[in-house]
Amino acid sequence: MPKFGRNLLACGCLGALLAMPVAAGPRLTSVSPPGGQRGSAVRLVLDGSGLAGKIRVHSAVPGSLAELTANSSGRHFLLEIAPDAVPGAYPITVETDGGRTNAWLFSVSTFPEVSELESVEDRAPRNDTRDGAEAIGIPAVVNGTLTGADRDRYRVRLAAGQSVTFEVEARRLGSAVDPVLAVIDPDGRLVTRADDSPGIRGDARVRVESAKAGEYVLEVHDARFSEQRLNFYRLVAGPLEYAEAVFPLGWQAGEPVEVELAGGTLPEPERVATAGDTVRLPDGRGGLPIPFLRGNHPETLEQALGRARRLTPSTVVNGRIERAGEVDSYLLDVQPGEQWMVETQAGVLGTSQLYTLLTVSDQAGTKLGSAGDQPPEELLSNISVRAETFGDPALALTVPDGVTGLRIDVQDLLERGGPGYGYRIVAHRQPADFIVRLDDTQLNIPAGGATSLAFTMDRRGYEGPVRIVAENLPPGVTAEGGNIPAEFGGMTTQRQSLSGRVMFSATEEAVLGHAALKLHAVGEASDGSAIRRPVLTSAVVTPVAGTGQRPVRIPGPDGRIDGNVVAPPPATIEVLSGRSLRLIQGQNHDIRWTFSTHAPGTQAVDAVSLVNAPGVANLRILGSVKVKPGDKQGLLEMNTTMGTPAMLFDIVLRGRVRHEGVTHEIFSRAITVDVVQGYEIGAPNGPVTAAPGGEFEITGSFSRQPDFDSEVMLEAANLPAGTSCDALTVSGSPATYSLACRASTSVESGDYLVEVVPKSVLAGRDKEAVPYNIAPVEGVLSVHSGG
Amino acid sequence: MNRAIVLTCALAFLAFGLPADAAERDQERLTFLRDVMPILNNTGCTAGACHGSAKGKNGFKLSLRGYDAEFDYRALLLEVSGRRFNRAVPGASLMVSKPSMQVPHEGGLRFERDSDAYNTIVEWISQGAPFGDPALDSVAALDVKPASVFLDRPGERARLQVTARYGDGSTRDVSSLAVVESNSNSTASVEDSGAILGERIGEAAILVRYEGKFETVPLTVLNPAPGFEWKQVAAHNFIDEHIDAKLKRLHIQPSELAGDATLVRRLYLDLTGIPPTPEQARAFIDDPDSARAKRTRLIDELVGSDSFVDHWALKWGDLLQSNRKHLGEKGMWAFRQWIRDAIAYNQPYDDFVRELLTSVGSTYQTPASNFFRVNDDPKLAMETTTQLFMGVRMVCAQCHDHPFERWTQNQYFQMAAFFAAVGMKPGFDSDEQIVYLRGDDAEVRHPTTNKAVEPEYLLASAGMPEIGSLADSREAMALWLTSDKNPYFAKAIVNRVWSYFFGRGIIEPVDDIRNSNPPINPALLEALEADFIASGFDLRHLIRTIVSSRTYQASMETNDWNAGDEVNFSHFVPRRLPAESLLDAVTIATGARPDFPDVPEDFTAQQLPDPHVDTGGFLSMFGRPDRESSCECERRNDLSLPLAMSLVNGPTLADAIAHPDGRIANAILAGRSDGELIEELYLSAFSRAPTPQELDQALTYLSSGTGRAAQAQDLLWALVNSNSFLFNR
Repeated sequence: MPKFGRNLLACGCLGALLAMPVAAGPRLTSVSPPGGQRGSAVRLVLDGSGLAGKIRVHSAVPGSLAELTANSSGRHFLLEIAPDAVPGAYPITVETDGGRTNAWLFSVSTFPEVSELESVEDRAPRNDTRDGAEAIGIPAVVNGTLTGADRDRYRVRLAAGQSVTFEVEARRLGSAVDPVLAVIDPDGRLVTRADDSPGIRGDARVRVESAKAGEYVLEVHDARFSEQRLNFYRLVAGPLEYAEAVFPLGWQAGEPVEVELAGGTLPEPERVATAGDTVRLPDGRGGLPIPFLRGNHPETLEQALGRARRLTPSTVVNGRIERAGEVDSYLLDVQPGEQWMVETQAGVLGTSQLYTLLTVSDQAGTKLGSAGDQPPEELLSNISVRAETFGDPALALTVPDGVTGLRIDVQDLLERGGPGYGYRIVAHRQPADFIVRLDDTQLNIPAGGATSLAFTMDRRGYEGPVRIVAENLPPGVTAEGGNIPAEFGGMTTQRQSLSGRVMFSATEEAVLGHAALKLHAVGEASDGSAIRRPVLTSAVVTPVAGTGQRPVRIPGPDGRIDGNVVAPPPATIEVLSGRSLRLIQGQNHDIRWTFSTHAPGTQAVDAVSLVNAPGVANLRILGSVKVKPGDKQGLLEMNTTMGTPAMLFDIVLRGRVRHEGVTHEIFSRAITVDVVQGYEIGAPNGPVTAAPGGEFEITGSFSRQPDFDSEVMLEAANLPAGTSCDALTVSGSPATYSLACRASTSVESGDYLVEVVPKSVLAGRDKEAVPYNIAPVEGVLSVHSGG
Repeated sequence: MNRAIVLTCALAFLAFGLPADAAERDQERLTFLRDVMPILNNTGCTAGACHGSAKGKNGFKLSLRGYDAEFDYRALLLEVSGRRFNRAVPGASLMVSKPSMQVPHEGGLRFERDSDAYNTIVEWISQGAPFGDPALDSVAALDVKPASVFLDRPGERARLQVTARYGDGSTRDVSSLAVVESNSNSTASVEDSGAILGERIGEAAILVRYEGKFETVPLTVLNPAPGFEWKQVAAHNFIDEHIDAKLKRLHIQPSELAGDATLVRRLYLDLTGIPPTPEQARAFIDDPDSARAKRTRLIDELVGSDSFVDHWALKWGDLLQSNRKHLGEKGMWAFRQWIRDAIAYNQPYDDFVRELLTSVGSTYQTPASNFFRVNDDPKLAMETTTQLFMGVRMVCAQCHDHPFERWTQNQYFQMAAFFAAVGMKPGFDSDEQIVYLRGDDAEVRHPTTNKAVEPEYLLASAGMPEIGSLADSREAMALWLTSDKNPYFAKAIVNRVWSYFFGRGIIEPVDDIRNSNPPINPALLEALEADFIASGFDLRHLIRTIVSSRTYQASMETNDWNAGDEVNFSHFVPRRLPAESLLDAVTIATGARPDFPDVPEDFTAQQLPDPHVDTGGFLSMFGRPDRESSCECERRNDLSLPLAMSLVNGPTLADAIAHPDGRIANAILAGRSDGELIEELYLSAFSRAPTPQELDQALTYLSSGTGRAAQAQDLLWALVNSNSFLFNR
């Protein structure tokens, strides 16, 4: 890796590495080699942080594992892969007293495996040039690495007319490399090149039939020649069979289903059965299996709908655009005023090439809306928004008057079609929806301490608040926080409320061990019903360095995460002040904390900081985070302002400590903040009636927050000429207000829209009066001579 | 009452409602179109610096150079409540009192009181200020005599007679009113009197404009020296025949062929962007075969080579603005690869352009669609398309009809409408975009009428598809654009490619082709165009044809008859190496490869994907384009003092010369003798061996200093700072 250090600095990747979250618990950062041949023994090296001491390896790789004495960094094992192991990617995690690591996928193949010499031997010749290409046999799997703008080249000898598959496994195993694979013939001419081949999630695959005998050169490089920390790949070369299309794309969880595989090397489509979340060619043919989505709703096939093609609410239909230009149409029975959400899944699954265009029309053919044919709503905020906009379109609509049937058309935006153009469509009777996704892959809760899970949200028309609910918590474990406030209109059109945190804490007495937690996100529909969605999880999340790059995610089981109660942390942060706060807009609050070490030799790495869960700067919540390292206790000042929207959110204190050479991230328990309005006035009870020459009252409800002790002045405004009301100063906490008013004899009869305008002040910390005015309320004043 | 009705009423009143005595006056009938508008144009009232500017001047706006007579008439007649006219006392009208400075006029005196212009306008007002009939009173054509001008020597003068022919068949001598301009004032200038003065030997185009019509008259200033006798130099192909025909007419004798050492460097630089290695240069020079045969062999070897592909991919990357700033990193790499493949497979040029302009799909999977990521607006896409592939600049016509050309504002938006349906949305991968065709509501609106504009070809062309018959109107546009009937398409590319080998186009600038900017050698351009079309739009064929010509292979050494010629391709004109070639030349000369970030370490400067990658700012400083536009003008090839100082004192050169793995270090470590070392340095820098005198001087120098290596470094430093190194000669 000759240019590693220099390029690391040059491309700014160092910043990205430093920005990587410090694990709450142990972490696997490398598994070498990343795969092996079934029936073979592999010297496996697991490297990472927090792996010292007693560990237990959880390997799903069929076979056996024995630890070896380490002669270099990492933990060394002898992995004997079972001869009958099915080719695929198997997770490996390591459990220590500090918790369980992230998962790492180990690939099992059917071909002999070698390592790229350049990546394992310091003095190995470079394989960057065509002349220096490393010779490999066929069949073979090469485990290699790409260091920055590296181009790895391999020589293979092919007979005339020989058919060979060359495939790079990288992103499917969690590597940050976005591989490009090129094949060059013996005359130096490009035979073919692949980047983002169909159905393999950004990896590359080609099938070559050699026109002439000779040495061919295979070239592997990253699509951006970027510097990545997780930079491994596996080049598979051999008579590998594969399919490029799968149909259907998914099925209801727990239900076995027969799936059609087509394209690739298959002369004819083949039907295979699956009961899990992958599909593979039978009889050990093929390489890594194809991901297969498992859903939570009943499912059916497009063909099963018959000629009527009528959608059943909340039943997923699996369809396919069979031919270029084809439009699949569905009917949906609706009633005027109903709110519906039509959702699709296709390209985002990685197993369909469809760019879905969704069009909804009424029974008369009038187009009501479309999705997928325009850019999604722009996420303007670049401050802290981490949510991703999911690529497949969804459409929320309220059924117009007179409409009792909808026609829903599905087609490819580019009017393409074929076996690889499957999709899933479902219509729900609900107005708006959301998707919540976990950013973290592991949950290690220290007994007597706390940890945090971050999640992000994709709003699909839903603007309300969401709360994450954790179930199956083991005894002694508490989940707190988990709030994403409602979206609010501010000075800009920025989307603000798109992220949050759930904080887990365990008592010192909590039993160490594993628990499968269920996580749901719960919102509230406009009709008051609950919207409950499983939180999407990832088995593997790999950061990708570079401008605008999203992490590589390998989906995990939706709504579930493996939680572990682990050994007590070396240090804790405790919040001494209240953790459930109710603050009036503009109020300040002091957060008092203490920092305690529980293990000798523990050192604070940096200051305690405040993690603002919604993560949006213009919430105007200011934390004074200048706490010097080494402080054992401190005070954070949180300031809300008059501009702070009334909302419920969570904050947490975070610090980093170093113990026995390992950096630990420690968290306080959640502080839930409910920012509220200081007082509220109700609209005038009414209508208010008045007669010329008479007196009348404007009355309404009044309430105030206990901490809001300022006087409130109420004045009537927009009164008709000839009427007047006395201003009212409200002190204390009366349940109602009443303005004394009078009408002259000259006042004209009629109905008037009048306002009650509240004015008050909020005593700031500096004792200066700060205006605190909320919105006026409106009511109707009816003036009638007979009144 | 809306404005149109007001105008109609006003025109009707003025044309037909005049007092009987005025209408029946026995005088010449004057009209705005025929008589007044030329005065406004000739006196500069409609100039861009005056009332023709975008916002007018002092509240009074006229169309630029009078392209919209109706607008101007309306402005004069109806604005400021008609106060620009005093029908009772025409001489008191602002329209004459201001330009004659009877009342203050910021624009100064435009004509004297009682001048012809003054009297004409006064008389026109007194006649009721009629607009005239556009069908009868507009200029239909100009007749200019003579059709071409030959001046026997610099200092001679000529005059043109300009006759306007109107719609009603009448004619008028407008010699004194027509605007006459030269496209090369250093060759021939136009005096205030209208006379054309020959300034120096050469050619110029004289543009004659009058009332929206123009004609171009070629002018030649001959070499007056006695004794010219044409000596035929063997022609290699038709290019030389057309060049010779013109040179002969101009009394210019072309230079002889350049020597092998010069030509091997020239061919390598022009075809691959990189000079030959010492070994390549030596092999070519020592080849005993005939010059013609080995040159042809070398051309065949280089055209289509990997480095040829890199070099031309760089040029197209510039023109198509392949830049991660616009396309994202992966999009940029994918676009570069697509361009490279097109060149590597020698994709026919028309096919290449059609694929580009009709692309849809992922910017990663269908990289040609990155064109629309750069040109993400119908107007921008149209402007880039016309400028890049037709050499036509439409940008002026966005705001007004083109002042010097036929293009109108309507045509601007009609052409832009071809791209109205192009939409873009994010794809599934990071920074990926999907280019697609939007639905029926996609349209381009005309800014004046606010009505949707239907797409229409810029020029009518027989055999082209009905635009509405294709779902994607871009397909019709691409077929029309790349048709061999399109008079601009092939012309634009052959002219552009020509310019890469000669430093200037046959039409210059290469992306400003218009009737008022004629080619320096029309017959040559036509022949190249025809040959290119006949070859199936084969760019390699075009390149081979050009570099095989004697004209290209001519020496830069001049003779008595062509020393002053810079434009007729009678001798090779040295060109400063472009930034990337200069850096690659430094690499060849010094043997030290620059350290480019973010690309494979064996990349040459020719292979760099975009302006993001540089080494110490060298490439940017030496004029590499930022790829912010498709204009050739983005690349700078000047050699200013700061650039010279950078070479003399800058680290790029100094570090490369003293590189531990560089040429000098390796040669000395390999035990080369002084003579061998000097020869290698000359070959690596100049692609030739030193002359005996140079060798003697160098040997003396190497043995005179404190150390051989240091002296050799000095010698190499001197070589690479010389014109022989910095220029392609």
